[in-house]
Amino acid sequence: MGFEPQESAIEVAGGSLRYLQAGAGPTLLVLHHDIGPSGWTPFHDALASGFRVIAPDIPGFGLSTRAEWARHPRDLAALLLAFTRRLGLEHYTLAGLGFGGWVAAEMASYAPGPLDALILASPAGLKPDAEDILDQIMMDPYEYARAGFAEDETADRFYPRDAFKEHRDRLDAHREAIARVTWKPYMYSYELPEILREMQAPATVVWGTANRVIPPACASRWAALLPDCRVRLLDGAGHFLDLERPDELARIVREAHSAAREA
Amino acid sequence: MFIGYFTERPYQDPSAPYFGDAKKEELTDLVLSNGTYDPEIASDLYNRYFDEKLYAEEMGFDGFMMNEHHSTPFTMGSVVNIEAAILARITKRAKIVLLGNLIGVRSDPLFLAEELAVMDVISRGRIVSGWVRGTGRESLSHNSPTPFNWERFQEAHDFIIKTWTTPGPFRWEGRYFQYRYVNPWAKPFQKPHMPIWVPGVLSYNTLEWAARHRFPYIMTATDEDPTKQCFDLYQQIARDNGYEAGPQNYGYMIKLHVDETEELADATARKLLQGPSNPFLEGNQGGVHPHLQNLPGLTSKKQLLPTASSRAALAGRGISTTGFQPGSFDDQRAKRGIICGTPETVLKDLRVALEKLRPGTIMIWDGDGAMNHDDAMRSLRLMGEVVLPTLREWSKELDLPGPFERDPATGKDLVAK
Repeated sequence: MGFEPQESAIEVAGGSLRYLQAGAGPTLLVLHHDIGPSGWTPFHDALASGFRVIAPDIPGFGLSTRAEWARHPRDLAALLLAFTRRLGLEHYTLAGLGFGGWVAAEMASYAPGPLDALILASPAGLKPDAEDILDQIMMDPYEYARAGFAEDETADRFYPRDAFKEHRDRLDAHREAIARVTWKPYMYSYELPEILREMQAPATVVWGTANRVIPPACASRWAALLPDCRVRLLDGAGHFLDLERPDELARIVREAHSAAREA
Repeated sequence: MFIGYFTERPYQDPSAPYFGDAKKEELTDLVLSNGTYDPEIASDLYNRYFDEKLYAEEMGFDGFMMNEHHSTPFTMGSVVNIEAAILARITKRAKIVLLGNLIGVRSDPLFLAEELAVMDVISRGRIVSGWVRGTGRESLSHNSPTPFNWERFQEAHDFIIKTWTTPGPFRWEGRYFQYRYVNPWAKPFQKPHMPIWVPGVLSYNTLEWAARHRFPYIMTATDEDPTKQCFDLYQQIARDNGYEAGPQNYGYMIKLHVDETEELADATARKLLQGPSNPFLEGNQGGVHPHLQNLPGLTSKKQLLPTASSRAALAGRGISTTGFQPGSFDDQRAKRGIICGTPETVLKDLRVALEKLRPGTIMIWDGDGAMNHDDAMRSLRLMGEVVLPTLREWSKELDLPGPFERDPATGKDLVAK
């Protein structure tokens, strides 16, 4: 990996918010999955050559303080908007992964001005028309993490079957962080779809056709609601697009940003 | 001494795959489907369990302990307050001890306050109210967010006590519950309100909370040594809070079966570990998925009682402390987790437990697992004829007053000696 990210923390609403940062160029904020931040990954690295990449730990995840009062992803979005103000970010591109995609969509909906671009990679936040979102509360946390990959062989690379002990505490903590903000309804909002209709940012929604966590059919719901949205389907990919297809997803982010700037 | 009778009221279906010689994978909690639920069987069983309670009252028991669990065949007490309401009408003297209601899971604690008050009124003051946090299955069954269970529990308690003791109408603006108009037309028969007891197994928070509120704490089928350590912990917290705890504050539940001969007692008590009894109890074939048992934020992993490292817990990991197969019937008998035999035999074991733990409340757990009506009735008769009268004599000799004889909050005698 080429970039050595700088680790920082700032105070937001009385808590500490930790983030990684590397690269130069237009600002790109990346929000992680529900299983927590995966550190500085090849996906971040691929983007740092064209962006100033900022990857915060969402409050309650990773090394950011838990906001005891938070009860909804919208609360986390409010904290992250405060974080962007603290950093003095006025124009930025926002990319959200899975649960982070939901938080990103809430942020974009409530942001004072339009973002440069919004990229949502298999986002939670909308109730699927058919099927249900995979329920991690009813699952072993390690099996849930593995279900984020389309193929068991890929899951073995990141979460080998015999390595659950080293991940257990982290996954348990993040499962609790999720339970605190989206116990029910689980992983979707009845309010978000209504407010999405007023989204000003150009949006790109990306989905793996083999996603086992959130049904790929959700992509068309997002497309129907967002005024300016393109959909990119990745054949055979699972839920963790950033881990399974880092270069492909990074290219989509770059293209979304360029297209928005040209428009 | 307060002597109560308890059974889980298992759903016994001899044709079900989870009965008898079920394998572990067939008896995993929160996996079993209710697709085979037979209302004919259930109807017979509910009525049988009521009949046994009526007989227990006749045989001299001071009360019935009732519990509540959801979505599982090991107890039919998912709507325990309906059973308790029926008992309020059909029994005459016995206390109805609810251990307990899921105040952290219930979405509307005012409904619960009303139900309990109505039962207390109908029974003319025989309800003992108890609070529990529930296991993972209760939170899942009613989809109550586990990270806030403990905070909801505490707020619901404060709210219910206020509805029972403060003239309405009043308004409640809490963190978890809000009410514009609190003015239930049902208030407890007992004043200032019915007694509150708290059952416990593992959670330090619950024991600490009970001790601070001076509520009797009932340890449910835990091993003797860690139970004693928990009572000592309660005493220490009591002293830190300016009072002295005693037998009136301690309850102990024990699996006990009495029968006509040693052979019959042995054969019948073994049924405790057969069939759809509580899958969590040692010796049963049943299991539970750890991720469903340990739901996020439900029980603090750092705040566990000595029972968490007890022999039962060791047995769960296959470690024997008695020389017998961990959790087996013989293992449990050897450590007095199960007491069975003729009245003379069980009294010997009970005497040891009484002297060691000094509880003012004993809950006798019988008629469970695969036991049938006749099994339960034989034991109840012998308890009434021999065991209970002896326990009452010993209770005087050993000075083991129950919570209706000595006030758990003040230590003052409630009845003349």
